[in-house]
Amino acid sequence: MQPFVDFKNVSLRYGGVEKGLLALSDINLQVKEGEFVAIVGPSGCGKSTFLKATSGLWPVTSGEIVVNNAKVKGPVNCVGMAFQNPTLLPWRNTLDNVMLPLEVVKPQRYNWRQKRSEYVQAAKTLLDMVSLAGSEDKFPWELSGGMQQRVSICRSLIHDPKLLMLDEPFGALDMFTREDLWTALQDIWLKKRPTIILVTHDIREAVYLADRVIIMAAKPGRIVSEQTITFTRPRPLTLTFDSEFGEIFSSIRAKITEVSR
Amino acid sequence: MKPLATLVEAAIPLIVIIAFFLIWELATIIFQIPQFLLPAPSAIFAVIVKSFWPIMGHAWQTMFTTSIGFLIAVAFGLFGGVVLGSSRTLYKAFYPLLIGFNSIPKVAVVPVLVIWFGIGTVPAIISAFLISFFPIVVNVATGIATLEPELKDVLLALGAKRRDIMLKVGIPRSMPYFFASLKVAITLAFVGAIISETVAANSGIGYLMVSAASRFDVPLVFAGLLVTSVMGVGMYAVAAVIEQRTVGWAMRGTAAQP
Ligand SMILES: Nc1ncnc2c1ncn2[C@@H]1O[C@H](COP(=O)(O)OP(=O)(O)OP(=O)(O)O)[C@@H](O)[C@H]1O
Ligand SMILES: [Mg+2]
Repeated sequence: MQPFVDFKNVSLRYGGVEKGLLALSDINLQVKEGEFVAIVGPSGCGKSTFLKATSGLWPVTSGEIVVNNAKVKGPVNCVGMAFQNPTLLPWRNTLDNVMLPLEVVKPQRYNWRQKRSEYVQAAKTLLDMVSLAGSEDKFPWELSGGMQQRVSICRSLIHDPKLLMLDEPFGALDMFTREDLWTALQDIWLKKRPTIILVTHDIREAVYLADRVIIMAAKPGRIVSEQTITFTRPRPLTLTFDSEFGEIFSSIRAKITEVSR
Repeated sequence: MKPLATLVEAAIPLIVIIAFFLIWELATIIFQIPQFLLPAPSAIFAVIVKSFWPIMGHAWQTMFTTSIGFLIAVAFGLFGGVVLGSSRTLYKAFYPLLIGFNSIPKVAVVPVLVIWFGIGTVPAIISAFLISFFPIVVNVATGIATLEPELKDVLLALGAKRRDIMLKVGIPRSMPYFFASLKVAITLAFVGAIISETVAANSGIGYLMVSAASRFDVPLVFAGLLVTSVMGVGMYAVAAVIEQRTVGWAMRGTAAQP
């Protein structure tokens, strides 16, 4: 089967072909459809750049990226993204924030008015899955940071993207909220099976959620190693106390420490 | 208790204004300041009552030129701000020119306007426009240009075109900046119109003050100043109310509280 995301010898240099900074160096990576991949690595190793390249927001310098059987040339048009800060629109309530992508993405942009009640239902289902039922009419400033982040994640999912890219979406949250959202994200993934690429600083998060953890190193940004995670799904949170989990955690951590030097 | 507290809060500005006039009045009496230097508020009010209709006629003229100039500035300012804000290149290209224009003292432009348009209403409208246009453009452009890059990325990855980003996010986001600039612009528009009237007009508050000054009718000059500031405050209040109604979401700290 054709991989859903295919990086073939991709390099990406910011500014100037020769003297610019090599943010991605000769990346080769295949992600299967419906796979959950996590990327970890030291700060500045090019994780966010990887996402930008995948979604076509920044052109690669050499090599080729194929997403969903099409070569990436400009911004791809159906990807869901969420970032560390929720970037909600302050003049829209929760429901309307979640539904924003439907007003933009094809084909929903042509029928979101007619099918509004159907989409409202979909939005409510998503909000329910992240325990935000009842907050539909609240405005962003009436929500806590963690709640805003959940809204942002729902927004990235509302149009049922085949590819979901998350850049440290839980980075700014406290541990309890974060773990709640891990399980919520796992549930959503099990139910809808999008392909997910999750960038994170948190190795526990990566090992708990992903099928495969990619480890990157900086200067130049490159993939140094990867680890397949085979725990059965759905994974309970207590898995993180498991000794096998601990071993995987430690080996990934050791590898990152090694490449950070 | 709560309604009383809000009542007091609303009354405070009024009390300050009354106190201001009282102290002024007392100062003119205590220090025996002559009328032709600093007329007492009572004398100013007396003049306003005595020449009420002529003053209103001039005030109306100023109000008219100011409003027209201001409305033109709003239209062009919104349009220019959206255009400049939507493109980094245009923003960078035009910004120095805008700054350059804005640095020209508008008094210096009035003689040129007189050469082009004669004296009267037109130069007043144009100077009101020129002086109030700048803050609107800059504010709208800034509001659009400071869009969070992540939000832009989210939309671009959904296949959004530049127009979508503008309509869904850029323009709504710039509205608080726009309304904030209106409050500044409307008072500046008065300045523009009155400057022009003092140089090149035969009606309007500016003309009234200059001609009164040439007759050493200082209380009338002050009456003109007072009427101007009342009009300015009134227009400012209108702009503030519109702002509150339309972009209250941007002032959630103060407005959204029950
Ligand atoms: N727009 C840009 N122009 C120039 N250089 C950039 C740009 N964006 C990122 N870089 C550089 O590219 C390198 C990789 O950046 P990137 O944001 O991908 O790192 P990251 O792995 O996401 O880091 P972090 O974990 O801190 O978010 C960094 O050295 C950064 O300084
Ligand atoms: Mg990053």
